[in-house]
Amino acid sequence: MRADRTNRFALTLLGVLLLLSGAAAMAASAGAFGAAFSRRTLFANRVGGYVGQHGSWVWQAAAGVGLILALVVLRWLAALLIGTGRAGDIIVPDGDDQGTTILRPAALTSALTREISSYHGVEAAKGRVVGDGGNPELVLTVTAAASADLNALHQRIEAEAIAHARQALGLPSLPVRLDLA
Amino acid sequence: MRVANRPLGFILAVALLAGCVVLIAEVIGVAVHHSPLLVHWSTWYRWARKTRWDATVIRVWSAILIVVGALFLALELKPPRVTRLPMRSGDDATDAAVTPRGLAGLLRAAATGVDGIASATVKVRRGRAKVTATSAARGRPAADALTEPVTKELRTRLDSLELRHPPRLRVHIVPRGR
Repeated sequence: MRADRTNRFALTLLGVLLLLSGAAAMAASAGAFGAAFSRRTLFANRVGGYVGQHGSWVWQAAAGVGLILALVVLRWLAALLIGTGRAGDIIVPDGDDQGTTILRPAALTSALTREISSYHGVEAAKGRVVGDGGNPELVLTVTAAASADLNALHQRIEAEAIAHARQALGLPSLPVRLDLA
Repeated sequence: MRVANRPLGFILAVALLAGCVVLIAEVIGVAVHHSPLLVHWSTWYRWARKTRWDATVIRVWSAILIVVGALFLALELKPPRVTRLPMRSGDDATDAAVTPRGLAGLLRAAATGVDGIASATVKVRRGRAKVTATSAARGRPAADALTEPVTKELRTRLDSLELRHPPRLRVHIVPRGR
């Protein structure tokens, strides 16, 4: 679960629900559904009547929906509190069945940032691997000196450091996000 | 990512979870004849049974819901601040970009590299970059004379980045003050 997307979706949905329910209640209060309706009490309507008549199963069904919603919310909370988006160990594909090579993301990012930091015009480099170990994505943030030629730096990082990472992982199409700051 | 979304999302998630727990507990409470258990919902029930739609309290709460809902929607639907300007890349698997701060630094260095410019400030916003450079010499004619070479230099540096959607460049040269 991507916590940021879920947050945005849930907060947008909350905004829509609050706006619509507020507008509907205001319309009912102002007599938009008829002057007689605006003089009725809150539960004196079809929905209130139905729930009153079939309360036993309606509330049990509501509790069931509440249970499912609570489980979804627990997963959301777990993604919010403990999810970092960082990948676990990366499985490097081998050409034979002699064993499995596992690479720690920190080893990859450390080697890459050391290499990039040695390039002319680079002040600092940070890296992390996101996604999951079987389908990793590399995220690099490179702080360049004010005088650096950013396009040349971009070409060099892509041709050298990123190419080395793809070669080391055996993933020629490893997705890479490169931010030049 | 919006900075406020994480705490707001956390508050909403906790509130939803608490609401679900209360709902489940009260339904169980009714089933075992021990209701209300956690909240005195019977008080709210009696209030809702005697409150009419045209009551002032309903209008006040409706207005509050409309305002809060509109605020949430405005917060979530507002276009996010630009955090990266994508660059053209020879490889589809590489998503390269320059940050607004990186672009501002590049343009500032390019502007101050022009002979006759003492300092420059750069603001990068959605779709535009505004460069305000200060000439080393006093007087408007000296500043105006620098507009073309500074713009040319900035344009060259901006083009060299090969951005997918280059920002519009606005250059303003101000003469040095006394």
